[in-house]
Amino acid sequence: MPDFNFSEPQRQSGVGLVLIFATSLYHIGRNLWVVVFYFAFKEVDQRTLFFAGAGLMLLLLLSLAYSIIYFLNFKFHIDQKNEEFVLQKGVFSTDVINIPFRKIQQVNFRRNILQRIIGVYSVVVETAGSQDKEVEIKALSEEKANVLAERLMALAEEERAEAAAESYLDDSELISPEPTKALPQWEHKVSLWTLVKLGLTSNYLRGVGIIVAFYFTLREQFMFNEDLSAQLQEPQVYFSQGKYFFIIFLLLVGMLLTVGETVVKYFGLHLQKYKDTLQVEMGLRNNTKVNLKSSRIQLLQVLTNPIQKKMDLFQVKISLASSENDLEKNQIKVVGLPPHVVEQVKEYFYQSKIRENFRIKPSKYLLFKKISRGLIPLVIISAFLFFYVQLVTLSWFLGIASVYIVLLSVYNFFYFKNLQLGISEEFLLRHSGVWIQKEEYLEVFRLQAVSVSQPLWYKKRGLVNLTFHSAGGDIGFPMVKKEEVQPILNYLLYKIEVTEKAWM
Amino acid sequence: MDPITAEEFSNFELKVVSLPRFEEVKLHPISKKYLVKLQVGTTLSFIFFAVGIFLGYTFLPAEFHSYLFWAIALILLLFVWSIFNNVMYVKKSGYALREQDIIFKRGFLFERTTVVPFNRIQHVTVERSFLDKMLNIATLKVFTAGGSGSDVSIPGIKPETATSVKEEISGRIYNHA
Repeated sequence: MPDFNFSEPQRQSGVGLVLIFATSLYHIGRNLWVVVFYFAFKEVDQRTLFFAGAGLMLLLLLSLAYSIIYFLNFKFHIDQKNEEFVLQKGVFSTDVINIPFRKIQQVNFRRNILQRIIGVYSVVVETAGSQDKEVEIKALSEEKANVLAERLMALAEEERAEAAAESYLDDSELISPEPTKALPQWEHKVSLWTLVKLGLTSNYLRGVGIIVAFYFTLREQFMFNEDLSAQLQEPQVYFSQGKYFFIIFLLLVGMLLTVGETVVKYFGLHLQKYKDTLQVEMGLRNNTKVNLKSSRIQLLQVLTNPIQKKMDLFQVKISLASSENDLEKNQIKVVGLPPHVVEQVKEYFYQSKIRENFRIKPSKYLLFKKISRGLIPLVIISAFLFFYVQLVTLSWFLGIASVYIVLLSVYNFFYFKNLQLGISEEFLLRHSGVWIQKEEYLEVFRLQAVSVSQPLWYKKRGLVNLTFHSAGGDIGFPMVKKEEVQPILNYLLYKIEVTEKAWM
Repeated sequence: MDPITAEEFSNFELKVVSLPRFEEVKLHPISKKYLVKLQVGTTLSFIFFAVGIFLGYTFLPAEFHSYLFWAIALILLLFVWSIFNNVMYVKKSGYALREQDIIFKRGFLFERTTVVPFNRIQHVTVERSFLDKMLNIATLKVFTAGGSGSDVSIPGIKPETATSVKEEISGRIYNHA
C-alpha cells in the first residue's frame, strides 16, 4: 500500500479541478436551459445573438477562474498535535473547519458519474456535531481515499477507545488501530435481476407520483412560453378519449420508473464483512461506500412484503446515531437480501442470537379505536346523503359502504394482530405491518429514555402508550395495560442504569 | 457489562418485582408562579383575537356580524378551556430525581411521563426568559441523544433549585462518562 503523508496541508488530485469546473458548468446549464430553449425556438436577430454569446463566454471564463481559485484554496490535513482533521476552503473568504478525531462518526466514499469517468472518489467525513454535519473532499485517487479513510477511522477509534478506557478498564474488545484490509469474511452481491424483481414487487404508486411531479415541474417551466405550454396541454384531449387506456399506461410507466429507480439507487449493491466493519457499496448515479461498525448501530429494521418474502427479498434499514431530528436521513437502506444474509448481518451487529422471553400485545380497545376512527368518514357521508337522498341510490351507497367496512375491519384486524412487542433481556423487538411486514430491533442498552403517555380517557381502562427513545429513532407502542408494562419499564430502566457499555 | 447482572437476570419474571418502581415516586410539584406565566400567555393571545374581532366589527358590513358572534363564542370557549387546562397542567405536572435518573410528568389531557437515566444525558441547561426573571422561576432543560422526543424541559422551578439540580446532574453525568 503506498504511503501518503497527510500531516501537511495539501490539495485534491489535479483532476479535481476538472470536476469543480464541470460541476459549476452543470449548475449553470441547469439554471439556463430554459433560456437555451428560448433561443432555439424563437427567431433572434444577430445583435442579440452576439450579446448572448459574449455573455456566455464571460460567464464561462468567470466560472473557470472561480473553479481554479476554489481548487487552489481547498486544502486538508491531519493535525496530530491537536488531534483533529483540518479543512480550509473558500474563494472570497477562507473557512477553516476543524474536526476533532473523537467527533468523527463515519468516513464514507461517494462517486457520481463524472467522478467515475475521471476516476476519483469523494471522501465524506461525517461528524456527530449538529452543524457542519459532513465534510466532503471531492477528488482523491482511490488509494489515497482508502488510506485517508482508514487513517481517520483508526484515529477516531483510538481516541474513543482511550476515552472509554478511562471509565471502565475491563474492555476486552479494544479495537486494534492498525488497518485490517484482509479478505472479507463473507460477502454478498445483489444481482441486477434481483433488483428488477424487487422493483416489480414494490409500490408503483411512487413511480406514478414521480410522473405526476415531473409533469407539473415541466409545465411550470414552460408556463411563460405560451406556444410550448399549449403544445403540452393538447395531449390531454387524447387522454380523455381513452381513460382506461391512459390509466393502464400510467401504471405501466410507473412500474418501469419504479424498477428504474430501484436499479439506479441500488445498482451493484455489495456487502463485504471484514473483521470489524461491514462495508456497503451501492448506486449507479451516486455510488456510495459506507463502513458500518457494529458499535454504532442504534436501530435495525427488517422489512418485507408477502410477495417479496416468497422471493427471498428482505430489506434492512440501519439507523446510526444522529444529532439531527431528521432521523430518516441517517438511515442506510440495504435491499434484496435473502434471509441467511439478513441473519449474518444481525449476527455481526448483535453477536448473540435474539431470543424473545415474551411478547406484549396491545389492548383489544386498539382494534375498536382503529375501526371506529375509520367509520367517521362514512358517518359524515351518510349524514350528507340524508339531506341529498335523491343524488345516489340507496342500494349503491349500501354496497360501497359494506365493502368499505369489510376492508376496514380486515385491514385493522391484521394491523392489530401483527402489532406485537417482543422483549428479551437484551432486546426490544417490535413486529408490525399489514402488507409491509416490519421488525424493529433495539438493544436495551442503546435506549436513551422511556416515555409513558396517557390520554385522560385511557385512565379508566388503565391503558398507556409507550415510547422508547434511541439515538437512531423512537419506537412507539400503543394501548397497553399499565400494570402489565410497568414492571417491564422498571426492568428496562434498571438495565440502562447498570450498563456501563458505551451506547455509541 | 458485569457478567453477574446478566446471570441474576436469567430469572426474569421474579426479579422484576423487587426493582424500584418509578410510578410510585412522589413528584415535586412545579411552581404556581409558572401558572401565572401560562395565564399571561393565554390572556395575551386572547387580547390579540379580541382586537381582531373588534376590528372586524368596525370594518365589516353588518351582514357578517352574525358570523362574528359565533367567532366570539368559539374564542371565549377556547379561552375558558385554556385557562382551565393551564391550571390542571400545572397541578398535574411534576418532577423527581432518583439516584440514577430524572422523572418528569406533564400534561392534563395527554399525560406524559419521561424517565431519563443520568448515564444517557448529554448536557443540562437552565434557561430564564424575561417573564421568568420577573416571576423568579427558571426552566431546566435536559438533553439526550434521542432527539427532541426524549429531551425533557421542566418549567417553573426556583432558580436556585434549578441550578443545584443542574450541578447535581452534571456531577452524575461526569461520573458515568
